[in-house]
Amino acid sequence: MEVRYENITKQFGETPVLENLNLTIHDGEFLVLLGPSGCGKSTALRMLAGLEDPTSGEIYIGNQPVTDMEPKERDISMVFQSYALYPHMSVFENITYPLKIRKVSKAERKKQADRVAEILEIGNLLKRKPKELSGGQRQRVALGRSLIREPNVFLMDEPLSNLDAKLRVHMRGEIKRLHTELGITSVYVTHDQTEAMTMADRIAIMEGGHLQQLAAPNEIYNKPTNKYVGGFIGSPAMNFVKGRYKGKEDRLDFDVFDFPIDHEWREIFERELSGDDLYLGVRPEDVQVSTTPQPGAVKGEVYVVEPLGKEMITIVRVGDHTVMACIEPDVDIEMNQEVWLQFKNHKLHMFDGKTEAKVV
Amino acid sequence: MENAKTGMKAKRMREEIIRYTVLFIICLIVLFPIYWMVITSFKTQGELFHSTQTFFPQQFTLQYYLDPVDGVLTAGSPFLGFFFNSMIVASASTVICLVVGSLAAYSLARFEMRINKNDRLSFAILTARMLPPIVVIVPMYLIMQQLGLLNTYWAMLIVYTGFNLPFVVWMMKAFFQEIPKDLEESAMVDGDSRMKAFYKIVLPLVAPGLVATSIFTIILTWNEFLFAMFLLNSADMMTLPPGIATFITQYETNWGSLTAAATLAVVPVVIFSFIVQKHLVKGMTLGAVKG
Ligand SMILES: Nc1ncnc2c1ncn2[C@@H]1O[C@H](COP(=O)(O)OP(=O)(O)OP(=O)(O)O)[C@@H](O)[C@H]1O
Ligand SMILES: [Mg+2]
Repeated sequence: MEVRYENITKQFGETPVLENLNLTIHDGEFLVLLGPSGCGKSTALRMLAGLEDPTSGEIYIGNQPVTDMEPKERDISMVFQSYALYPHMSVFENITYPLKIRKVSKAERKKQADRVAEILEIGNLLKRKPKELSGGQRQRVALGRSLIREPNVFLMDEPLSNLDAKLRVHMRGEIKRLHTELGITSVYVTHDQTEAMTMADRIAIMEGGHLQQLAAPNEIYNKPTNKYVGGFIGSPAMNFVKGRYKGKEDRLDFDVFDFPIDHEWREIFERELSGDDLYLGVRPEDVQVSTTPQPGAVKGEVYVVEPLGKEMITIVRVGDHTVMACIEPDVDIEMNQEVWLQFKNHKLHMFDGKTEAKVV
Repeated sequence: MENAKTGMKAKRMREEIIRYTVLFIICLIVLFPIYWMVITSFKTQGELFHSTQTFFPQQFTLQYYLDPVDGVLTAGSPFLGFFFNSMIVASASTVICLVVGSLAAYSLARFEMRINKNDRLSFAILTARMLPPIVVIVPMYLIMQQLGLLNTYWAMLIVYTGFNLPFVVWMMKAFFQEIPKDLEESAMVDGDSRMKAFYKIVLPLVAPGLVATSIFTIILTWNEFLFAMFLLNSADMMTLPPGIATFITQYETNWGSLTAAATLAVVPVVIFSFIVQKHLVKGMTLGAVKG
């Protein structure tokens, strides 16, 4: 079912947490809410579940306004960030509790529990109490309780945060598979961008109570709408170099190097830029490093080299700027060596110096 | 090495001995009056007034309990009436207190109410406990008289519920605050109404709290003397404390019946405490959330 946040504002006392959130989640979509800690992801989810009242605005599930509805009338399942397992019930009773409320027969409950337990690899834990489980096991039980039925919407609040790397990758796959099979609208909260990129149909990036960008993973990566999104997505993070627009001289001035621009770019800058200041954004993987002078390349000095096995991160100082580059692991460079940087032209991002919105 | 070990052992041994000795002395001080009461109720009349008192009945008698004329357990004895009245009043007021008090405590623990800003309402509730009962006893008498409730269970239920509720609310509030809010929220998302989530998820988890609170209220009402003394003056409505006091008259004190009645009065509280104490376990919420 389609989910719609319309002009949602949420304040706790005087503190605004979400401001005028407008967000439509399509029927059957897997939407990931991504943002730093404290940006209001859980709050947005809890309002959809009916656990928190918006200060103003309306939420729709399907075409029905649900803002005044009780949680149980919304037919939603949710994995809580804190797991919220029922301590006095066994794992089996925890997982099947939603079915028990719906008066599903014992045999059917057993069947469903076994199905879910197999997916989550917790079959051997069904008889235990939550306090006898490790953090990761508890988290999978919490996931199981949500996955056991087919609600209108799945809500998951960082459901994999406490699993080890291997299990996390595995569960990521399982959740995605399950979602494709069932086709139920899902909202998934995380601050792990790998999770977001791999699982999402679309990612909603939130920060400071505002929706920064809502788009498919590739678009978020390739066309960030502002400096924040550009810097938030991608690891290692995008390089930013502060500079000035020199329209009369057909160039961008970055102190230690210039960047020539053509007529077309000039037009865009004239139209879009609020002042003269701007940021050049370039991802480390779009920076080429060579040990010999190249035409149009920027000279710098290697500050640090960090080999990662499949690639190598090089931090290069160019005047006062620091530029990070991901390069082939077998390139032979050392600290303090002079290198020449080239930016892949079509992979450059320009952001307004004041509004930080994307210019080109 | 070996020496150090045995030294440690000896030290621990000494500590244990000291601890048990202290405990033993405390128990002796606490239990001796009760012991004296119990054995007194089995001594014959002659022994009771003998110049030398013994720690154990020389001649064991059940006459104060079973005497066909004035034994406390004989059908129609005033004691049985007192006992019955106490049972009704204590259990009914405890049940009312727990039901009303838990719901109130839950609301105070969970909801933000303007009236309860900075815990104002919670504090106001507590003030009811701050007055010593003796201060309100005369007004209370007059009120009950006007309402025509003197010598009724209703009077006692109203007073005891009124006086115990604040206590129940405060105790239960602390227990509810221990339970993570996420638990009932999760139950509500799973499909429960709030009331049902309260009943099926929260209440089982505060069971130890309910038990502890109920023991306190039962004991408080079971022991209450002052209000019962003033508000119940006909013998057939009296509860145990003023009832037992009637064995002490201007002319004589009927020690045998008095101690027999008092001994029996202790029994239900002891039994109740034994039954419920196993629910007094802590750590029920372990494993609910991440931590
Ligand atoms: N009940 C509350 N009362 C007051 N402030 C709250 C309450 N719940 C959340 N907040 C505040 O609202 C903001 C958003 O909280 P929220 O839990 O939605 O963040 P989040 O994005 O889920 O963060 P995280 O990734 O750490 O879980 C935070 O600054 C938090 O302090
Ligand atoms: Mg959160």
